[in-house]
Amino acid sequence: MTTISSYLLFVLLGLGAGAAYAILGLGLVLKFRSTGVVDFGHGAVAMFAAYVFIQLRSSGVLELPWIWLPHEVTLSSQGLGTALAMLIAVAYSAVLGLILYQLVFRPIQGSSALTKVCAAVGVMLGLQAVAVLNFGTQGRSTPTILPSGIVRVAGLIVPVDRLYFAGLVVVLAAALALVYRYTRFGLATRAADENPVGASLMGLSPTRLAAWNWVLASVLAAVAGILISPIATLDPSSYTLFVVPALGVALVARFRSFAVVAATGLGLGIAQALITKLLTVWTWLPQQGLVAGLPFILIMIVMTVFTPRLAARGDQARSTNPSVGTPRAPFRTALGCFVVGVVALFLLQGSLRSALISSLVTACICLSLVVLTGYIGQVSLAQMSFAGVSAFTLTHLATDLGWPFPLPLIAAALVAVPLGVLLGLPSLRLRGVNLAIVTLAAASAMDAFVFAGGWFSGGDAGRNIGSPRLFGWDLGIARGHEYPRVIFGVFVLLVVCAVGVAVARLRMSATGRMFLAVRSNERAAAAAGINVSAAKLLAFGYASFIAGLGGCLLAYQQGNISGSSFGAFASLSLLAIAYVAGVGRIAGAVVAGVMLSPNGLFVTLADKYLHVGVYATLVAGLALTLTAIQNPDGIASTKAGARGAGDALVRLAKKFNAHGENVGAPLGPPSRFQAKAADPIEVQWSGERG
Amino acid sequence: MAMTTEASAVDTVGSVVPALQVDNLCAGYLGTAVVRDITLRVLPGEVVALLGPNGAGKTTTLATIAGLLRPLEGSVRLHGVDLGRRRPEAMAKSGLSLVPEGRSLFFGLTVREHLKLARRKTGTSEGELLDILPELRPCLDRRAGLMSGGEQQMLALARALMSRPTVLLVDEMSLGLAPVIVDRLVPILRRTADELSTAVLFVEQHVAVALDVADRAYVMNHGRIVVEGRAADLRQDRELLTTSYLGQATAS
Repeated sequence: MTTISSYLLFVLLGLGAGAAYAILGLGLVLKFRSTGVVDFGHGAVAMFAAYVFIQLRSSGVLELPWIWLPHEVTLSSQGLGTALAMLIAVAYSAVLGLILYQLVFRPIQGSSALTKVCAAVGVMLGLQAVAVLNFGTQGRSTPTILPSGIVRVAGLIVPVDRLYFAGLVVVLAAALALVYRYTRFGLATRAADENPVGASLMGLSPTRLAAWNWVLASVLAAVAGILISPIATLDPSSYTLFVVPALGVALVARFRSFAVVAATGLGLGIAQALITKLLTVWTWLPQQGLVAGLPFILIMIVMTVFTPRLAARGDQARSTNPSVGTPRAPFRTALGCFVVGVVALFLLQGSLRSALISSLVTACICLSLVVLTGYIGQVSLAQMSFAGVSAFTLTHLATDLGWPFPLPLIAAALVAVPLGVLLGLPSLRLRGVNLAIVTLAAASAMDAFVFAGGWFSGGDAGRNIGSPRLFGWDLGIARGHEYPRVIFGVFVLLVVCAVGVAVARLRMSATGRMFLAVRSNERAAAAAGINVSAAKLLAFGYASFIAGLGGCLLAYQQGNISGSSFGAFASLSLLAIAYVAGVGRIAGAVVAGVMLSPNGLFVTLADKYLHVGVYATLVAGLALTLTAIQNPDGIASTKAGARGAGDALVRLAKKFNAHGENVGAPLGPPSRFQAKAADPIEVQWSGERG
Repeated sequence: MAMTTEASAVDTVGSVVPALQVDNLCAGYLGTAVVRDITLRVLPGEVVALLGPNGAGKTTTLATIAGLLRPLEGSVRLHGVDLGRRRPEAMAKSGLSLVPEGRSLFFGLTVREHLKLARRKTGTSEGELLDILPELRPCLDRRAGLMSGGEQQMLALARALMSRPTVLLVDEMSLGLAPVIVDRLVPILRRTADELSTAVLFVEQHVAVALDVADRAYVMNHGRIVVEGRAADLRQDRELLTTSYLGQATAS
């Protein structure tokens, strides 16, 4: 009896986290059903609301979501009442959600899944960075909100607040289900989701409906963040990452059913708590990572096994893929880059030289995204995990087994290939956003099982790796007091140039054309005789080999590596900078490494002379979001975007110019039409007719 | 284009304000005009056919009037009020309904839900509508995605009628449907115009069917209106119709 009751206690305790997953999941479903966006920043909104709530409650200070400008408004000299603080935090979150929708997600309504993913990731990184800058990374806690205490039911100890949690989830899910089923608002959202044109012809405004849903979802995010704050310590990263289990929950419900979200969310919380309990009983279970890793295993299984075909919403939309570069004379370009790189390595000293080497390593890992995301259009949020597996394998092969130099590098990179192919398997059934979620889940699972500790990754101490030696020739980054050595830089440069040439040759080969065909239309590609599955798996394998090489270079560069370098967030940031720089181009990978990488040359320079290093993540988040909205081709592309704030500014400037020259000139579309009509061909055409 | 300015009998109707008045409309895609200089009008209670061969710009014209495309030039007036560059939802609220090509139904919603969503406070009731289209009665709780093409087209028309529009635009109802169903649906346009004095502008490939029902017709070709006239006259003058379709029409 006592053992059973102790299990039951864990079941009940699990309802706390489960409720947070469920409520966040409900919000994710609302956002997806109204805009087709899977909002990776949903957890970050909850995190912000929780901070606002805690600050108001403890000190009466309202925290605004920006930096530099004064961000603290004192509403009262001592803390506000719990209810009032909660109300303000919820309203705050609603406004934040509305602003995010209008500024970020509304302009990318018809864009491809990748664009939406990148915009959402950008928002997530940005909010998290602001939270780190304004609140620090120190965990915070707050007294209980719901009646705590325990009741005894038939000899069982029942924590009351968990029952409230579960009750709230059930009520919310039921209310949303009823609203979506029976009210005009719900019907209209469903209609607009399915067919925006049809909805607008009936006088329904799809954007207004989406905005309301977005507000509703943000309110739910705030509720989740606030309610969980007394039982889970609040810090910027852990709350932001609540979105991952919540995504799993929403996914099981296929972003449709509110009831399934509620049940799965609570169930997941219970399962995690039960595992915590079982670990003390069944000691043979892997002690490490099981609790944290469970949701992700769940996501992967549900997504790949139980989903025959989940039609991604983006399929219907006119999707804009990032443009791809056409390499010309890759050998000559690589040779040129090599020469420039060697000169730069000799010219730069100390921290700048090691920053350049960092840039090169990042460029190498970004090249894997060029193949995978740029050429064949598959989103992977797990590239750093592959790099990590290779890096740790390298330490084992080179340090422990003592393999001679080029061998462990190649072998370790090859180890990533089967892993990449394995992660590629879901891509045969899933596309776009759904694939992004599975890969994020995989990255998080790797965090929990592989990188968090254990013999493979060496725990907090990490693992050491000696200098590479070729026939007794020391290629290492450090020798005695010499650091960083040019010869190591040249070695890295050589590898990166070789990978660049390989990617360029791939792009120009028949395989490259096959990849592009798969990217633009899988069915058409299949109809043209391309084996789509084989092409995707090949790309995943190829990309993970490149990522693995990059990981090994990183290991050689750092001398000691620990799992924290290869977490899910590292992969997210990597995709972010690769996308901003232009994920369809080799030049984009170089731009990402040199200009955008947080350890790279440009940021180090800026930090050295302008001291802006702390804002790196924030800038990355903002840049990612802006690029997604404005220019899906990235910095490395020459084509300018046609939408968004930047373009609006350009148009505005043109308007002012037009006013200056000719006040009576018609503005906007008509003037564009006139410009067209002035085209000689056009004139001839209408002349024929006239 | 001499023909579009040709005064016809309807122009002299006098003080009646046209329900739909389109003047010098140019419209197209990505800034390039596909239709040019479209001037047409539909009076309350009038049924007007918009005819023409494939690619003439009929669908573009309707989409522009409904606000799905922004006009490049020209104006669209409903009951004398210029509502040109409005969004489609604003046009719909001003009493204009378009039954678009491809129907734009919501396959996940039932017939009843479609009608509920389409109803306005001053609109038609479900009962009245089902009297006009009794075929929909047995499938009220069926999802639109599970209905036959003919039923879907009826639902698309029903949805448009539900809001009791003052201007009804219908794009090629007969597309992919059996002639029986066309014969069933086209007279409903006539009835709507007669009973509710709705202005109806419809695109139809079956010229004979269209001219049987319509009061007047415009014939488009290569993005311009090349012939306009009374349906009765056009029915007589097969020659003019043929040449207008083939693109060599001259002023008659």
